[in-house]
Amino acid sequence: MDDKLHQQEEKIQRILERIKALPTLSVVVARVIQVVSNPLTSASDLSSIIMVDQALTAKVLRLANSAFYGFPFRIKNITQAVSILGFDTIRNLALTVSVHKIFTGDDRNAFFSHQEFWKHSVGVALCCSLLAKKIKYKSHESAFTAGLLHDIGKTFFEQYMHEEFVMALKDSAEKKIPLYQAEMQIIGIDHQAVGRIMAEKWNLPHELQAGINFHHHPEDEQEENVMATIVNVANSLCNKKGLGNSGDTAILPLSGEARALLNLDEKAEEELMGKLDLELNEAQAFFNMTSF
Amino acid sequence: MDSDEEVKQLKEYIKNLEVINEGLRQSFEELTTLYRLVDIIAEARTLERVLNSLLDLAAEVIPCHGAMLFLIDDTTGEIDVGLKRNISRKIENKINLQNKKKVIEWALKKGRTIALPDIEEEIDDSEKVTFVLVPLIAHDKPVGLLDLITETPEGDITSRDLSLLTILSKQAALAIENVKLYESMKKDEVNIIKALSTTVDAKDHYTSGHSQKVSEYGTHIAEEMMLQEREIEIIKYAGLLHDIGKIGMPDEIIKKPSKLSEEEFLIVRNHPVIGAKIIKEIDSLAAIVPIILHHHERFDGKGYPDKLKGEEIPVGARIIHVADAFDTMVSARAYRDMLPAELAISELRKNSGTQFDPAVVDAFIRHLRKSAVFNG
Ligand SMILES: [Fe+2]
Ligand SMILES: [Fe+2]
Ligand SMILES: [Fe+2]
Repeated sequence: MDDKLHQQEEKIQRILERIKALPTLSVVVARVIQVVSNPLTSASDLSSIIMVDQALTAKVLRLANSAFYGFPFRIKNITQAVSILGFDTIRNLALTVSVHKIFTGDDRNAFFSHQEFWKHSVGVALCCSLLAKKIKYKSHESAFTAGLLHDIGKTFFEQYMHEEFVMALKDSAEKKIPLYQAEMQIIGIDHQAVGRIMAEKWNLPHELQAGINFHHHPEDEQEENVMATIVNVANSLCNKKGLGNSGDTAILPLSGEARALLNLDEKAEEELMGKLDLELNEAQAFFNMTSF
Repeated sequence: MDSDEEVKQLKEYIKNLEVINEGLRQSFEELTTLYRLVDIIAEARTLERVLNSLLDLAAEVIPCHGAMLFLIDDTTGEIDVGLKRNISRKIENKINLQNKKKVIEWALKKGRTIALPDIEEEIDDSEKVTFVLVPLIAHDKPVGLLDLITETPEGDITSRDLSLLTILSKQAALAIENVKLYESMKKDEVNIIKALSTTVDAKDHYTSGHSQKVSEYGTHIAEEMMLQEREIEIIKYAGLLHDIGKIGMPDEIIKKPSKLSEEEFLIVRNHPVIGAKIIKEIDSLAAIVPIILHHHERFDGKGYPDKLKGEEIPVGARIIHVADAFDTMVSARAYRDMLPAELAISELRKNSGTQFDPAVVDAFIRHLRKSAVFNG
């Protein structure tokens, strides 16, 4: 029996090695994340970093000029985009563009659609941002990012541990258990932990790592409990709404603690979902990024 | 460890220290700026003051040479230019208000501080300016927007600049709310004071508008003596209410055209004390009580009620005393046919140093010489 445990440990060790060997997010985006954390960075500093990557520049500008931000005049360049939409927003857009690249691919099985997965991720991101604004969380921009990246661990499974991931997806659907539980049983590690390690590798801030790591059990996170709860609630709300699909079919009710923390009773939930519908309408550019 | 390695480490260490030091210095400066800001802005009582302090403080974040304050009308929700400072014709001509309002609406909706190049396309680069729009939002409600004009290109603006301006704007928005509240309270208060003073003046039809006049003269003297704004305001109200103590006195005495009897005179002499008692009941007017109480004290100590002398008499009371005497002289019937102002002035001169404070008399005469009324 110790042998089995040993094997399991070795397997997880191998998975970790593999994640560490993953190519980094994007050199440019890594630089963007780094410089935005320095308050003395100027708009043209940030712009000159992004402009190294022409495709990135074009896509960021496209998103900046989309109906989602609704600026009444055309934003002509990244410097303007930064000085109008702000440093955090532009960092988010750069991150969104490069994450989108990771999230896209050919569907290899009936249980996991990349298109639906992207929809889920953007939906949760928008919902996180709304929740964060509602409770005046310190940064709704970082809540957006946490939402966007919360299930990123699944993209690793999908790509590098395909067979076992498919088994977990099936298991979750048949036994009606949450996907992370099925992953634990079959793979030995779940998409939360994998996602956190990826975020760590990309040097994403601590609150993002925590938001990813605890989005299915926010009560286990002390320091960044609010962030983890925001992602947890946004995830549940989007699943309930049927917005996209991340392979997880179990719809869990919101916990009383989560509702209390976010001050979200039934009426507030309805109001929030109304706002989300409006935002989704304006956010078309985020869903159609493949056509850029 | 070889020495090259050591030197390298030491250099690294020093570099780190420098970075930490610079960070500390900057946070210190930011904090100092913010503390000053809270004090200055919280004390501002007029929009002009708020804008001026705001601008001075904003200038410490980014060099800006002019600014506009847009205000949102409480009832219509319209955005309009409230105040301008150092806006040149050139810049003014360049601003397309329609376009500007679109951007302002956007910034207010998003609650974002933004830096914006000229939205107009064709401008030659030599005159390029950047507009920094700072939404002013108090208790989740937009109250206005500060529009700073700077030559700093939008690309040079850092996220620290933007967040400092955002902090600043929160204080400013609250200050604007306070000013509005203050102004509406002030308006009520001034109306009540005016109503009271009209009642006092109505008691004596020979001197209709007397309190109003004393208030005006007093204000001018105080300005001429360069007293502080707050003190000038106090003198203005004290002038309006200086004889409020006469309000309960019998009409026969107040309106009596002939000389008063000893007994009647004693009753009238009581009006400063009674007036002070009445006004003491109103908290916001506490500052004018000493002026009302002592407006009949003489500089040489022979006045009433307390026989105060010279500097013992509050400066406001010394001023009102002169203003009161002057208006009584120029509007008294006996002087009708003369050159009342000239005569009254020589009267003031003659009694300067005995009845009147010479400094007050000098200031008053300086004012009268300057004013068009006297020359005309
Ligand atoms: Fe998940
Ligand atoms: Fe999810
Ligand atoms: Fe009097």
